[in-house]
Amino acid sequence: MSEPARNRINQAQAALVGALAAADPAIEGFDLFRLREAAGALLSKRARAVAQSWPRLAGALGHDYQEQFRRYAMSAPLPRAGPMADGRAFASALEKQGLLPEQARLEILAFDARHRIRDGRITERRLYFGTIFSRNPPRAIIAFRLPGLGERWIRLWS
Amino acid sequence: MMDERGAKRIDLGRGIGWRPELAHSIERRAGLGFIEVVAENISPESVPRAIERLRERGAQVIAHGVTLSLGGAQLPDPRRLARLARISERLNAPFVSEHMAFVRAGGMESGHLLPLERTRESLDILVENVLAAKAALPVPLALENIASLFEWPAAEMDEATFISEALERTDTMLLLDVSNLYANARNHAWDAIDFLRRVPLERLAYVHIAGGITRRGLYHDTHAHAIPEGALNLLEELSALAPLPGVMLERDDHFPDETELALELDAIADAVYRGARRRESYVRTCA
Repeated sequence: MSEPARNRINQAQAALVGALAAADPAIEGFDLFRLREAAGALLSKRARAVAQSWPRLAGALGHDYQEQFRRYAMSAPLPRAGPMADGRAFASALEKQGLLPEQARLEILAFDARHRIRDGRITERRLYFGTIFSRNPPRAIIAFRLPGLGERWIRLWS
Repeated sequence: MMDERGAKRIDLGRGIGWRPELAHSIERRAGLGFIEVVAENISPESVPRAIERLRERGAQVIAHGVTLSLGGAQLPDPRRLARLARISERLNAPFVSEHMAFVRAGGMESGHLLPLERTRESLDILVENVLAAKAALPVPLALENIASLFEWPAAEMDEATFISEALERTDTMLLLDVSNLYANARNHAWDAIDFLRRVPLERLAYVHIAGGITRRGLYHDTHAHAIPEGALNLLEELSALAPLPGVMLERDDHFPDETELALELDAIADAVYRGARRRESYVRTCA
């Protein structure tokens, strides 16, 4: 198969993937109503997969989950590493906006103490140090990972 | 049993798509001949015990890939192929299945099986990719038809032609998803039975069926709702046209309890039986 044909197909398919991930998926020659329905179904599927992988985060957001996830997903491409990585990126986006619920932090710390996301893959960490400090509820939690020692958690108060 | 092309035809019986949430119900259901596992969700190094127990009971396990992107612009990734090969060997799978679809393009993942342009050019790329995949896999490959709510503009052929040509040119088997066929025929207003008469059913490896729901006039193949009557009727029609080597239920969400699951599996078996009776009485009439 010729390279030009593969390039042409790549461009056409990339335009479709991009359109389906956008808030308003218009693309020439396609039925707009059907593309919108497909984009909506894709977003629901993505949100459901993240909620299953990050139950505390989804639970803490409650009724806001769908809307917050939709906002994040519109500007964040689907990560190659799947729903765990997608949920971690969603949590980072919430944190940047000061919208991350306190109840979700433990789940995030537990993930970070074990994993890192690099080059589209989730890998095991060898070294980690992370903390959660909060006034309400009052608590301090330290998690770390060291070679030979493995993972340790320390709860300082509350 | 050997067919006319000398390929091994395996009678799988009734089956189900294995999911961790269904593991318990599946183990308690007697008489399942096979399960299908999503290859990307299972590590060759740590196959769940529940799957091993089913294998010990004699169930066949089929490895089902979802990320090869066989209709994509790139040749399938050798690392993904190697992993699929490892998992199929580890499970002693009679074959591997994948989709006539693409899932990524331009460095972006879609997270979904997307439809291919039905053009000569796109068909040639699919054929080349499938041949590369076949060469890297230790067992035969079966290709599945997908469902899509929308179509590409300017199709040069219909779906039956596109799929038939892809299967013949690559000499691969067909994993026929009756619900995807039902969805596309309904959403794009064409005749599903005509499709069944035109695709090479002698290449049939096994059959998928699943549930869905109608929203705003479009049928969504959700794998999260009950099987619609129309899909069961289509399964009966298929069974009336050809002997079915294996039929399995796919359920991915809103998991039913054991009773509901049993009812769905029974409804599938009934539809297959009704079709088989019609085929046999037709054969007797002709003889």
